[in-house]
Amino acid sequence: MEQDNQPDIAAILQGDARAFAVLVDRYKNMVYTVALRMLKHSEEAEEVAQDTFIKVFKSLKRFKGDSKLSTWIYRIAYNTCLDRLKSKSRDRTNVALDTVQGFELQNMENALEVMIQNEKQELIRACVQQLAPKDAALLTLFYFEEKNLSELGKILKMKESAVKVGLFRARRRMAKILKKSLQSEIIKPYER
Amino acid sequence: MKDDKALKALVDTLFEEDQLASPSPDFTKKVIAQLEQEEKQGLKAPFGLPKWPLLLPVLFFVLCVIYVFNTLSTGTSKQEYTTMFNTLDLSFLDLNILFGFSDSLGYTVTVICLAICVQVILLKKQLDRRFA
Repeated sequence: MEQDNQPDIAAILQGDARAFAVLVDRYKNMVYTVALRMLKHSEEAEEVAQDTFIKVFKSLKRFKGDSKLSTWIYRIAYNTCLDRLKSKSRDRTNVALDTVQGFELQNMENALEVMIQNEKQELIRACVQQLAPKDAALLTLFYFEEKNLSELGKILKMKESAVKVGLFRARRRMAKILKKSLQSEIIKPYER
Repeated sequence: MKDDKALKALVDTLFEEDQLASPSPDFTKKVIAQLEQEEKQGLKAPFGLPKWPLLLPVLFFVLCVIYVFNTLSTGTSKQEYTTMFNTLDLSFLDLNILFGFSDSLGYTVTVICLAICVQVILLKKQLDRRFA
């Protein structure tokens, strides 16, 4: 994935705007998605995504290649989002960690099966919107970034074991929100 | 355990349908324009002051202290240390000619000046970090 159209770091360091535009184009969707899911506001997410790339440009000379370039960029994006949340004291969204029973999971799975793709995407968006910023970032980065716990740990500055636990909790919270959102879909078959 | 696996499977299935969001179409242009603008501003008027002028007040204060304490004897008796402030020679300031300037007011002003010097340095660091 990272082989094709690789940004030319040497050219960027020499001030080549085109080379930097390649880098921005390559990572903008992921950076913007993470920002959007953490901040829950499209304009603010775009601002933070822009700030992220400005920071990337300014500190690219300090990138030593210890991790993947994408990991390094996502870490900057994640920290920029956290700073934004901190400055506005908005990290208050959190869902209680309840257990979802097996039969409830089965009901949700059945409800999801009958949904079309667009409805599912809309549902994901609505559910992620209700997650805490850190959970939203964790799930988004995990499912879009090769499901690599070690890279995820580097982005979020967490140990692999902590990432695993965080993912488990985020999934449980997601399931709880999903259960609530799918309530009407689950009930429908029984009404017929 | 079984439920955990089912939960993972459910969320995995759900996220299979997930797609990345896209910023506005001119996002890249905006970033490049912002960078160019910042570079121009940087050339015209650098936001951060050079560090050395901020050290001057501190250096000046240290020199004053050395000068004032130079008049003290170099003896190490306890009493000399405790009465050190009473024996400070501030005559070089000659401010008493203009208005009544008690010792305690002098010390207060000195301490406030020192605090301002330190705070200016800290404030500069914070502003540099914020606008970096």
